[in-house]
Amino acid sequence: MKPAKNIGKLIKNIDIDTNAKTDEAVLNNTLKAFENSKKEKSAATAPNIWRTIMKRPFTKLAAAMVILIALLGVIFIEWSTRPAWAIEQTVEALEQIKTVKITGLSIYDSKPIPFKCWIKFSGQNRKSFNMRYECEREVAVVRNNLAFGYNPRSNKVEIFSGPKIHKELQIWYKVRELSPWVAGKILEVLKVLTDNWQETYEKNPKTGSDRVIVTCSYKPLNASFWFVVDLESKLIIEGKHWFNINREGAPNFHAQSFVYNQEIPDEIFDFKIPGGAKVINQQDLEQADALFDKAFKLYDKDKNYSEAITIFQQVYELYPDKNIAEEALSMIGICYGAMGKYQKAIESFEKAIREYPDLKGWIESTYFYLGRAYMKNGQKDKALEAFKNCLVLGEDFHKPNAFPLEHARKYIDKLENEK
Amino acid sequence: MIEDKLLIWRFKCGSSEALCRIYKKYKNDLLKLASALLNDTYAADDVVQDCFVSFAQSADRIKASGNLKSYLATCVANRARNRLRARKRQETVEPDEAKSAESNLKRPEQWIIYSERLRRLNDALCQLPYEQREAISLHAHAGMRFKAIAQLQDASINTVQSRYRYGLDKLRSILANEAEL
Repeated sequence: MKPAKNIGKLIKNIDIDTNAKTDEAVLNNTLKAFENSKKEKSAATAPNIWRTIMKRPFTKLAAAMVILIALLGVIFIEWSTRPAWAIEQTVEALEQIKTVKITGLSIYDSKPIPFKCWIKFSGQNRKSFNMRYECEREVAVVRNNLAFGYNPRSNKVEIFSGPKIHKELQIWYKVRELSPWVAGKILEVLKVLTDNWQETYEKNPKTGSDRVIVTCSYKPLNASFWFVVDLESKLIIEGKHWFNINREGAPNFHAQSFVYNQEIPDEIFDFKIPGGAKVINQQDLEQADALFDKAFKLYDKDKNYSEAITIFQQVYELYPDKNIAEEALSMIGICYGAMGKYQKAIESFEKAIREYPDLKGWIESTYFYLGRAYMKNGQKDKALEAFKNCLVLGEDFHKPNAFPLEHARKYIDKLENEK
Repeated sequence: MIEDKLLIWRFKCGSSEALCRIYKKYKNDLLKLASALLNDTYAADDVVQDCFVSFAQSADRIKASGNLKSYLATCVANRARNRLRARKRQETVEPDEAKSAESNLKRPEQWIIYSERLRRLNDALCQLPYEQREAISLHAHAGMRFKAIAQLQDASINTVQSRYRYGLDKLRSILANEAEL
């Protein structure tokens, strides 16, 4: 058949073969998801939620939420294998929880920083809760339909409210929808997620009480857990969370103590905007997004790099306190790179890194682009340094075989081989 | 169509056999669609796999009255768009670098076995603007009506028809310069 004659028919009738083994594997996965979904309707959203959590700038807080939920949730998994874990007893114990205070350590820039977190349930069936998480690096408060995020370093407060809550905060609400802590949904979700489940029963060397130490991991998200359940109260008493599956190195999150049902005054969930703090609201963020998208279209579709740079520059100047400003600076560098102006590109990437050094989840990609611009500019040593920074900063936030780590590693190999 | 309605109904009632039948009936068309939209072997595999898993988890949200093939195709098209957007925004790696990085990933269990015909067709489709490629692929591979494509593309039916027509003309001229497919 000549393509010129009946192109539509050609496309429609073109044959395709598939690998039978993969066919079977995909079908099995699909059926498994179906069976799980029938049992655990809420499970469907969990992996995406988890992934989203790990990508968001509020990662520390979000990770805290995940571990807290996970810690109270996973104890139900395979409960039936141990009579000591009669689920009715555990549910009963958890249903008595009105408040919880958790203290521990969370890693920021490779350093363990102490944190405190309070949660108080309210409403019928405890469907809503107020929460406060604080450490020297950030404070986050969720109260009814309002959420505040405060970064003391930049003295910046972000406020989110209403149904159109910004994407960073949507995750909190998703978590809330899943009725964590006690209601069954999140437990059902976690049943589907974790693997390598191991239990070790022992006596607490200090108090002599019976306890079980549980470890489990979840490969697709590169996460592992370790936690202790007190067999008398059936509650979690300590927990750790790593961003690797083998529980290697210091845990990224270590909940050292849980205090249940202690009175928490409502004032804990008040948030006063610190003096001189820059306040950013949801509307600003939407406007910044729209302007950014306009510039991105000019870059991506129209290849009009100089016009795109002008608008990315506006995003940066108008909204310097938002994460999108870092993205805008990074995009300016990428545009200059596309125009072959590598020195200008380097300046822009370096500015992004200098002004937003803590913006995890984004800054590693900027280091990657910086490395590439240095390479194009013939500065191999500086390129190597930038790629290595990308690897170090990105290891907690990106999958090792995906962008930017995979690409950075490739360039490092290339540059070191050339030495 | 009636078979599809029955399949959806049985699927919504919890029948794994119905899901198997839906999978076998549409997987090839969806793979062709994803590979045409993405022109990336592994991404196409992933998108279709994600689409089926997500479909399997959404029995309670699927409307029994809807068009099943169109629903699945829309799911693939949306995921493909997201994939491309993410790739562009996060991985602004020059094409040759991205390609070499991809080719170094060893994934022996590749799902689609590409024939030379399919590969050349996809390469040609890839030269079209994305909206044209999408209109052609959704119409030809998924049998979607222009009205449904217009909804997906947030454009008028006339615009979608023009995209389809211009796209086919351009594709015809690209392929006419090559040997017979």
